[in-house]
Amino acid sequence: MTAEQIPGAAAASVPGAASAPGAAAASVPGAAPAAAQRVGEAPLLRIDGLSVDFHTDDGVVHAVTDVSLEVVAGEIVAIVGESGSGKTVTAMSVLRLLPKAAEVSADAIAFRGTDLRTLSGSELRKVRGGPVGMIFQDPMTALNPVMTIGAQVAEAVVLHQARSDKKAAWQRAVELLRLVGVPDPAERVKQYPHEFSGGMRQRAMIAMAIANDPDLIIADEPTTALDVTIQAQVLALLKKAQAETGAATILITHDLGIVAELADRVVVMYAGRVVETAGVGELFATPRHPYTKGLLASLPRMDVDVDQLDPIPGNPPNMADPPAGCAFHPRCPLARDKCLTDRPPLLAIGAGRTSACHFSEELA
Amino acid sequence: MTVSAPAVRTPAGAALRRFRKHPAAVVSVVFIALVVLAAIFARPLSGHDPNAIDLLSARSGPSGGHLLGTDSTGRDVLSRLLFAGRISLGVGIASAAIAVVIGTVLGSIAGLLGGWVDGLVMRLADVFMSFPSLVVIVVVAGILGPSVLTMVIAIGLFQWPVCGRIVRGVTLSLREQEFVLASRATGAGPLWLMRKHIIPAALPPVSVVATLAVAQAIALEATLSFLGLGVQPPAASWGNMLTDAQSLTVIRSEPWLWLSPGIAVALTVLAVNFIGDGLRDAVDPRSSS
Amino acid sequence: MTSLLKVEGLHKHFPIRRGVLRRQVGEIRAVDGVDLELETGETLSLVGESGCGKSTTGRLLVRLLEPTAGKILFEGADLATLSQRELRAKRQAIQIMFQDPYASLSPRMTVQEIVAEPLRVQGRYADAGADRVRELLELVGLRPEHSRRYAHEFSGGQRQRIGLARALALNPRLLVLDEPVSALDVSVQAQVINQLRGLQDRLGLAYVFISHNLSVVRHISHRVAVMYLGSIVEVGSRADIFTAPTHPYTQALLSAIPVPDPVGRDERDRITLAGDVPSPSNPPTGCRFRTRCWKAQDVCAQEAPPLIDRIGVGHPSACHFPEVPATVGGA
Repeated sequence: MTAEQIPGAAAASVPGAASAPGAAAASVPGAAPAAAQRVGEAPLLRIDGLSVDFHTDDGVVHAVTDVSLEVVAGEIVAIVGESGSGKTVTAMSVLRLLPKAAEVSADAIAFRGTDLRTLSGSELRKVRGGPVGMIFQDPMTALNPVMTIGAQVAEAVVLHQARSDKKAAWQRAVELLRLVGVPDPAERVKQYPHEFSGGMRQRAMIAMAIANDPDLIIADEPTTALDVTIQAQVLALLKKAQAETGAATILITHDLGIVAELADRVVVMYAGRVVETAGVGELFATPRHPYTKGLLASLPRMDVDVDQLDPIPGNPPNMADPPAGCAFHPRCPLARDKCLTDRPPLLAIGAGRTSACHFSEELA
Repeated sequence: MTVSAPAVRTPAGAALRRFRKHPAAVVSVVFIALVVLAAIFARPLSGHDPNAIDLLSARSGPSGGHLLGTDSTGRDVLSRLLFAGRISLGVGIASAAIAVVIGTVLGSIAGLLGGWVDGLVMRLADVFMSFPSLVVIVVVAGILGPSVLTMVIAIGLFQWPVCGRIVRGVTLSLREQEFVLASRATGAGPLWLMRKHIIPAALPPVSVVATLAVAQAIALEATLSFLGLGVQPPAASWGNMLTDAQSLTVIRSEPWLWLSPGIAVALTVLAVNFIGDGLRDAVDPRSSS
Repeated sequence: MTSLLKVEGLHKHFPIRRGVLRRQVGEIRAVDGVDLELETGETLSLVGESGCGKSTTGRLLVRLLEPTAGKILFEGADLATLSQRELRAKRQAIQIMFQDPYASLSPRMTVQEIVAEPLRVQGRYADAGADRVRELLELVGLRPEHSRRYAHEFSGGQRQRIGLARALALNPRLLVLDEPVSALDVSVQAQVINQLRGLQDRLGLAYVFISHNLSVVRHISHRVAVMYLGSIVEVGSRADIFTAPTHPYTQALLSAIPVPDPVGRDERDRITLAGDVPSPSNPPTGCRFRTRCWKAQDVCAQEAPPLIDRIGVGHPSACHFPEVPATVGGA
């Protein structure tokens, strides 16, 4: 671990996160997830000093560097970032779902106190789809095209039961599909994925993810492939599933609208590193990293009229050859000489907030 | 402002880098280059006329004067081997070229126009692919009389469907690509699309099948000439040099007569196939394991 | 004065063929009776969800597809009845830019070749074509020095600019923009949107802006047409659609957009539509939207509501029971 890394700095599980300054905080949802209040409770998931490298033709790509992250029971943590920011790679490394070419190193990837890296393949499969449910962006590729939906949901149930009772599993599959809002589930369980619409497939994926009453759901861009009215349905369903199972959720998305709708806490990533973490209310009200601020400013809004959008200049970094110093400096309005050479550490900037900017004070 | 000149990374450059990672293919390229050079400089290399009969030194084994010995009429085996290389490589390349040209033209027409044209071309390809080519070529050679030209044309005709299918496949997938739509939106017609988009895109996979077609054609030439239906004596080809080795006595007591053309055919075909494999991995990174 | 573009009764039906004999067993009515009008310098957005026919409409406008029926009048001339030569000249004036910054540029061409291609196709490259390419690259904010690089060396936003330069090469008067920023990262999306607006002002371009992203549409449009299952259900000015939508589908679409502001998120009223979009090969009778509509009555199943202004709000909508909602979004 590097000296500048603050252990656990990315976590909002710090007691007192609720007493964030600002008048907005009181009415802001998610600034104080109930679970975060319990002092000294071990986090559900703790990632510490995670780095992931990919070896490519263009050399080594540091997809994720030194990411630390904690998720406590029951909260929704959104990981936000643009393509190539490392948000998906971070989440996939939890359940070792990365391709073989990925070189993962970390000080800890602990789920309920167990280091997932020490688990054997079969033990890990017990975790996947059991206490940790997964929802992927593209349900078409995540579902088996030659198995009925019912068989796949029932399989998810059976795999995690001590004794297999196929009939009961099938019943449970029907019940799960009804729960996630698939109409006429008794009939539709017999259908194949291609007979389901995109939204219905995503519902089936959610049914599989919650089949075994998970403690943690990892949802990777769960609505990106869906139309906006279907997205609204699926988001409402995710909210409901989370409320009913009480599962903590890691929500990976590029859509700040979805973050604002669902998340309790937000982790912003840029160029493979965490650049800011905050409760959702604080993040939108007073972003403390120029990248976060820039992202919010560049959004066309339904509720605000502007003549010109205020984009972040330049382009996302080439991850095979990222800028020296602060990776955001070529696009940053605050950048000074220091930023070209010194990478800003991720520092606590208040209760439950961190920012990796030399000049985060100026944004306060 | 000046641009720091980064090496322009062409798609071909990337393919070359991948090709270099294939040791067998790289060695094969060197080998084939040597074979081609040897065929071109056959005369100075061998120092003998391949057709000069010298009955006095017939059937003599390898020696200082004749490195690979002599055949039943005293002709120098090395020089015949090198000259035969010209014919074998020539037949291989020429017939593969015929196959590629026919395949590319018919394949892209079928893919671009679709409908009944596509159906017709593809059924024609089926017909050619379902015929036992060797039998047909034997019959054709029998009717027209054996010659290098008929052989080249016959081999080429039977090899085009493989190339045609590939080009058609590439065309069909390209047809709906947005950059081809963009080209059409500016008013580009079928000929333009073929020249600027389809052929460049089809070139990598076609180069792979072309290479494999060369190997196949060399083997087929050897077979036909061995059967006396290809290259006619006294002209030498690897196939008809093997014809001399049909008797058991020759095989037992004069191995230099059949070993060298046999090894030449085997190694050349093998090397060309290796190059094909290397090319396939180079042009399509996903196909390599 | 005639409009720059006037579309009347546009239809595109794709046959569904089955079996060995490729017999037609049905048809997909991808575009089923669309009327549009567009003036010079104006942006008309086509919005709707996948399968609503917005992209097909765009491709019909640039004649990448042949319409099954209907008229496309460009500067008063019907594109369908023009001779080949006249069509060639006219179609240069309507160009298209695509969504995918990767698929829309040939991986085997340099930027110079990509931008020059329209000029070469039209035989206009020999005449100072290289200068024109340089000018186009500068126009979209790319460095001409980079023109010898291949497209894969550029980021998504830069690639979309290359696509834009190509679309502008023939001096079009109308650009069809098919989801031009949907595949871009948020920070870069804003750059391209600003660029498009700037170019419209400078060059007097008209845009048909096809998008599912209503926030972007609200920012860039003068007028908006909402499509559902192949037809327009509501059309009006930006303010009409975003402040006084009368069609339930428009209202549901607007309400479905996640708002990037967590304050008060739990108090928001949402219209969540039930079910999926029906198949365009077997659309519902009467009003196409009735299967998902909370207002549907018997009449909706029997009669397709025409696109008219029933309640005098100043813009038409295709609903038997239109009403202006109490509050919708901002202006």
